[in-house]
Amino acid sequence: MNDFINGLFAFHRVIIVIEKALLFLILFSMIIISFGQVIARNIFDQGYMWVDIFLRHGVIWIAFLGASLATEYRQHIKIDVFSHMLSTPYKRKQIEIAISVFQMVICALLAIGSIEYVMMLKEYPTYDFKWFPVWGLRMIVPFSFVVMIVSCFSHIVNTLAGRSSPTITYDSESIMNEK
Amino acid sequence: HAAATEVKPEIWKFATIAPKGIGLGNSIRSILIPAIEEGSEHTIQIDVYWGGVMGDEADYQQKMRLGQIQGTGISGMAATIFCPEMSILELPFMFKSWEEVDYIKKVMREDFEKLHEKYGYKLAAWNDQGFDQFYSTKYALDTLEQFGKAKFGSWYGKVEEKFLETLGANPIPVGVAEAVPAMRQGVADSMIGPAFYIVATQMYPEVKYVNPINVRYSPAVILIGLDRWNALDDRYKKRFFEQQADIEAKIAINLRSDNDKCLNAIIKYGAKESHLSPENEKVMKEKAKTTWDYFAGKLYSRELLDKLLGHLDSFRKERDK
Amino acid sequence: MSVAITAGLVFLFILFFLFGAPLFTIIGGGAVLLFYLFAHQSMATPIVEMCRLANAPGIIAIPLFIFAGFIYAESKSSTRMINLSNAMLGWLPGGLTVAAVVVSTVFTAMTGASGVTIIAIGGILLPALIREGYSRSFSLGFIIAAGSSGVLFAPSLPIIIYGMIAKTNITELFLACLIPGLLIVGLLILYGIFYGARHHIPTTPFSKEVLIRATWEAKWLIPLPFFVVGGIYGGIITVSEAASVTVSYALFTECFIYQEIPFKKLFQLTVHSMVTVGALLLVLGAALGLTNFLVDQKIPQLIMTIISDHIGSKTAFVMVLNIFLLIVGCMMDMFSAIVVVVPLIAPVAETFNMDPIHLGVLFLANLELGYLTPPVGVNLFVASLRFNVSVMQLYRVVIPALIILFLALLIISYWPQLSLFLLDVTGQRMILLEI
Ligand code: NA
Ligand code: NA
Repeated sequence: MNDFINGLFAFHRVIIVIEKALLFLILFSMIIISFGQVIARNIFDQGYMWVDIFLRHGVIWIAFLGASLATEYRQHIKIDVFSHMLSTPYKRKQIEIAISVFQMVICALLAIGSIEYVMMLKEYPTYDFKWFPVWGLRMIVPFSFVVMIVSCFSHIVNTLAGRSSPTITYDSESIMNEK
Repeated sequence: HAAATEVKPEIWKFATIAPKGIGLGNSIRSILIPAIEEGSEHTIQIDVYWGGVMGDEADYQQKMRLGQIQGTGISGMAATIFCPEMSILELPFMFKSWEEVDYIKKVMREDFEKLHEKYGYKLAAWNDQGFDQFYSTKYALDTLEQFGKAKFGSWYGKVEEKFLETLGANPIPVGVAEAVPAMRQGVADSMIGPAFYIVATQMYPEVKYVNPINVRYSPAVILIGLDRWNALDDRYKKRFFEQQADIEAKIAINLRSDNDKCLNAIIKYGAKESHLSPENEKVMKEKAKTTWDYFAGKLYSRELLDKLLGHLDSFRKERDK
Repeated sequence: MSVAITAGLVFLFILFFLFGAPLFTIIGGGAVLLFYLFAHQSMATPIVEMCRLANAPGIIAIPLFIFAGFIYAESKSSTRMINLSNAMLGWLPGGLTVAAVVVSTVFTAMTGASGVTIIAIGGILLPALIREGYSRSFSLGFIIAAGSSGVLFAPSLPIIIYGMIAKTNITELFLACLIPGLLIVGLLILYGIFYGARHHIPTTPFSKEVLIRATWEAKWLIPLPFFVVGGIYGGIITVSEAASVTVSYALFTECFIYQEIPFKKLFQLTVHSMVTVGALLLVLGAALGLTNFLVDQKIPQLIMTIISDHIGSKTAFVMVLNIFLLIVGCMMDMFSAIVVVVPLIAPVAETFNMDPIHLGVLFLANLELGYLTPPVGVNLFVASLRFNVSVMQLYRVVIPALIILFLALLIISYWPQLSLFLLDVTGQRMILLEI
């Protein structure tokens, strides 16, 4: 069992690195292609329909890859009314685990929904790019929800073991905390 | 006190981007819905989600497959989303007049019904949004050179892009929602569209020129999910078919005159009417034909194109006798 | 579904919401369960809505502007900007707040009000305000409020879309929104100046030499606003393209000219900024899913029917409308709100003889407030992500600004002439072509 979990987490870490690389690739292709479009149109009087379609698919990929990393680094938008009132770290830990379990359940529901969604698209495939079907591009949606489930699970295991989970920090924080 | 035996009607949800009171929306509301509801002896009730509250047509297609909605009213390019072969009807300069459209509707109705069934839809009504024209905020579009200079805002898909390319015009790809801001702002200065659209989006104060040539036919269809339709009592189906021609004729009168009214209103508002010379028009139509061949085997079969052209040919010969 | 299960689920969701579960799990999970258990529909329905994000107007600009904002905020260019604005406005009490409002307003008007202003501009202005001596909570609240004040200025996308949906003249709407927009901007500026004077934020005497030096140091930044503003108003680029120009220019100046961002840093910045984008868009997508459930069940209609059945006077209607729209603004994003709600309220407003143009201004001003109101307040979310501050804390710091905006809203609602004045002065009210 432990081997399975360790293997899963190792695989998960690889997936996270791939997600980051993909984000970088997609964002920069979006920048280059959309800037190229501005140049092409204003200087060479050329316009390409696929640019807009590419950019819109790019936004979806960025949204779901980014959201899946936001789960890994616990950067999701949340409205925390009560938990800071909890006095002991022990209680806080319990709440955090409860929330991660809740998030796992919801992500599982969303994953089921998005698999149904992709299957529905697959029934009558359409093609925005020559040979690649739209349903293939939309696979990112269930994929990212599944990665989120693993992220939550890994966070639960870390919390139980007293380890800290990976974090992301902004450099500007130092400026923010100056008084 | 409601009687316990009272049967609740089955609810069919329809979604359309057409607003409730005008154009296609008006025809759906005042002609189609009563026909289905009364035809089914009020065992079916139709709830319409007007004005795009359920999203755009690509969303309707997905929502129909998921069963959230059971029907939709769509026009123009959207008709090709549901049934790609419909793009054959929207090829540039395919039809010259309403008579030709009406003839094809009569002789090829079954072909298009079958095609829709292939994708899971019942073609409940086949109407017309109208013919599309050229509009520009900058160029008269009365010579072929002008087309070379104009920047056409385009979201109509591959056929339009190809057609504009053959004219030497520059297509500016814009999202549907961004087309109007792009025209107002001046990023794009020309477009192909129905008069109705120019009025509804308030583009007409910006539009300086109209070339009222019938660039392309734009259908308006009402689709019902095939599973729902098939489950319908045969009596109701029969009654609906009996009325169908009448319904379509009524809707056609409304929509075609709406579009003419809009075109006249735009011209009356101040847009200048412009025309190509007969030689230029001929060149343009020849160029347009290259797109017909280009998309055969891609969006529609070669046989369907040949069949359509054959019918048009015999209609024209018969008429010119 | 049995009452006990329903009540249990609702309780569970509220509990997790209050204890800080990610908002997308509450809204998105709620949408999935409502569709599945209550409407007996596919669980994929809310996913269709989430993917509709890709077709939202101006959506492509969001990741690009957010990335550009991160680049500028992380480089020394923020300091250069601050030095420049200080050299220009440092002599005025609250000078920097004036600059903050003006710059944010222009940026929001152009970018279609998507919350990106706070990242692109706020990321630079917030540290500056804090360094100048403004309190942290004032600065945050101020930046967040300033980030929505451009909604009422041309060529703001919400105005254009409102005009098309409500069938009111877009040009007249632009004109009618101008004075109410200036009212909001003016009140925010007064608030900033007042705060600066009262808290003795140090002013610096104006110096030509300092201004010239600051201008020279910022020479690579100064052209950007001209490219963007000039490009958009001049009809050279669309708003989405403005984002791409901005980010390309930022990359060019920061990586090649100033050479302040090495490649490794660029990679980190990409990940950080796109995590922000993902967190924001997932909540917006989930909100689209929940909105679609409300639409599917015709709940906005139901509420409007109840309102119009029980309201007798125009004054009361305007009041209830404000409350209704504030609630709508709490839950829906602005574009959904326009598409879903406007066709419902316009006919009712007509029965109360409300001027359609005034209704438009009132509607947009109301939803401008919606950017700052919990639980779904886009500006609060963006600020929370960008500045790493809890949303709860932001609710608190935004209250003073919210009161000011609410005051403006009351004036706009009950003084129609404020909106209609310019239309009357410029002459005829144009009647739209009938269809
Ligand atoms: Na926003
Ligand atoms: Na809000």
